[in-house]
Amino acid sequence: MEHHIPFEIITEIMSWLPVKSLLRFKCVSPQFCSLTHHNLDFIEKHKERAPAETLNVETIIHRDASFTLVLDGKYELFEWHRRFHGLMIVKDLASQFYYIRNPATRQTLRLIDPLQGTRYLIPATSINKSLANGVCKLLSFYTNTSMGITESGFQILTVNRDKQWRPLKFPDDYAGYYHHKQGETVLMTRKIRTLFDIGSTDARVFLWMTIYKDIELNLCLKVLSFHIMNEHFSTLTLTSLPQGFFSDLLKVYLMSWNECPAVAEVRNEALNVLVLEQDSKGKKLSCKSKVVVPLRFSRGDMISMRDKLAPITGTSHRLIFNKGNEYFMYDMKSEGFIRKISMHNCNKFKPSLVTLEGMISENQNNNEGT
Amino acid sequence: MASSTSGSSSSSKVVKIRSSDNENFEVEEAAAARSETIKKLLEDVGDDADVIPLPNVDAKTLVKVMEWCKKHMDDVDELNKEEMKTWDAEFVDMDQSCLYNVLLAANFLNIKELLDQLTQKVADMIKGKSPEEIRATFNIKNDFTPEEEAEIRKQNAWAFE
Repeated sequence: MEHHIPFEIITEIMSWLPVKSLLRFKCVSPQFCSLTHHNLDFIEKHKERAPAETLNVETIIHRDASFTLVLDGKYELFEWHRRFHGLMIVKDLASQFYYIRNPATRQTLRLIDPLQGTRYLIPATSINKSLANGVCKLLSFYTNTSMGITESGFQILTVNRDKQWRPLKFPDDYAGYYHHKQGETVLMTRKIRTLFDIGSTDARVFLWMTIYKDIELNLCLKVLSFHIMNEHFSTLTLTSLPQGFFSDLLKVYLMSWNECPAVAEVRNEALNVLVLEQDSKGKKLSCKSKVVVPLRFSRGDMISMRDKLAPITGTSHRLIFNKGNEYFMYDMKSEGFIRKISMHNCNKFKPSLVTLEGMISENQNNNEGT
Repeated sequence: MASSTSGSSSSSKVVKIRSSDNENFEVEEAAAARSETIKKLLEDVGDDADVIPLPNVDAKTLVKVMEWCKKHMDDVDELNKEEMKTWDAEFVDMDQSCLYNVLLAANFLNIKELLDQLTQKVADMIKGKSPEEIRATFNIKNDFTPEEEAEIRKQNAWAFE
């Protein structure tokens, strides 16, 4: 043809294409191939422009009212809410193998088998900085009950590097975390698994929180956090929790609010949120703002629903709560309490071209598995 | 040609631009300034500007581009958004040669929104094509060895179904 289209314009054109076309066009030339495979700027731009797609998810409800989300008829969608860079963690229903899967490119990476009883798999990665040299780590939490004894713990895996999951070593002074100074009064302590910045370099798990009164009778908050990428524990303290903001400290939960740590309580058909801010050293917390979100409960939900409803994350338009094994979403636009089980909020995804080192096409993976 | 773009609004300021085939156009400044390239040139020369030469754009293409700029001169309110969408869809529906000319012009003139619309249109046109057709469309030499190409095809077999 008569026109010479510069590659920068071709790049722009490509950024509007569906993933399937781009995979096909990988064999146009090495330049095309590396653009869709390695170029993070391009991959980001493409993801931003790509229309959201719908996953083929079915819900299977078990007798004990727990549920499994089945993806494409063959994967258990493990951790549906912890997607990172268009990737998700799935478990093959037939083989029981765990994979990191990109549903858009249909590529998977087989994970070293985590322990039985694994309940959470939390990703942290630096692939947003460099795809080729990016590191991806997973933190697992497992609980096993046998003969009436429950054993639980954390394990960590550096994807593509570790040959096996490593038990997480808690710091030596970890036990000291519970021991308060003389004169301090512990008002509430809770195990938590609240997470921030899932799949980012700074992904952290918050393991414990406690509210206490110090010697001067200030209301204080302390949380133990674990930075997955650095494998580093740290304690964050807030020395001036506003008196009277919470009515019942036993109903206070740690949550993430627009990716900031926050403490919140469900009270009087509203969620009262105290948004916190960390200092640069990551040691001290301070109050940033107070937010009150009115909640509308449906009549039937009134009593059963409100009790022990734990907020997990909140943004300006929706809240996610957890209660036992169930998740609930509150959409601030439609103002209806929706059970998380309802599909329309977990089957949407933004297709992405991200490929981790060692990812292979699903068909090849399946052949390998059999 | 010049008459088609002049005289629409007597009050606003008019700038003169010249195509690669030496045709002069008078365009409202607000329309011309949709092009970051023209806008910058205007700022550089100030009010002394006589005619701004655009050596990379021929008259036929420039008419097309300015038609778009005039339509997009003012901010669009919510009411007109749908109407504008329809207009834009009709605008990019042009023959292929013209489309690539306008695309190159939009790139040179640095009109981001127009470039987005046109690249999206081209993407729509090529999304179903084969790699061979893409090479032909963009005049790309295949530097892969047959083995390398076969391997990439194998890895992404489902994309060829």
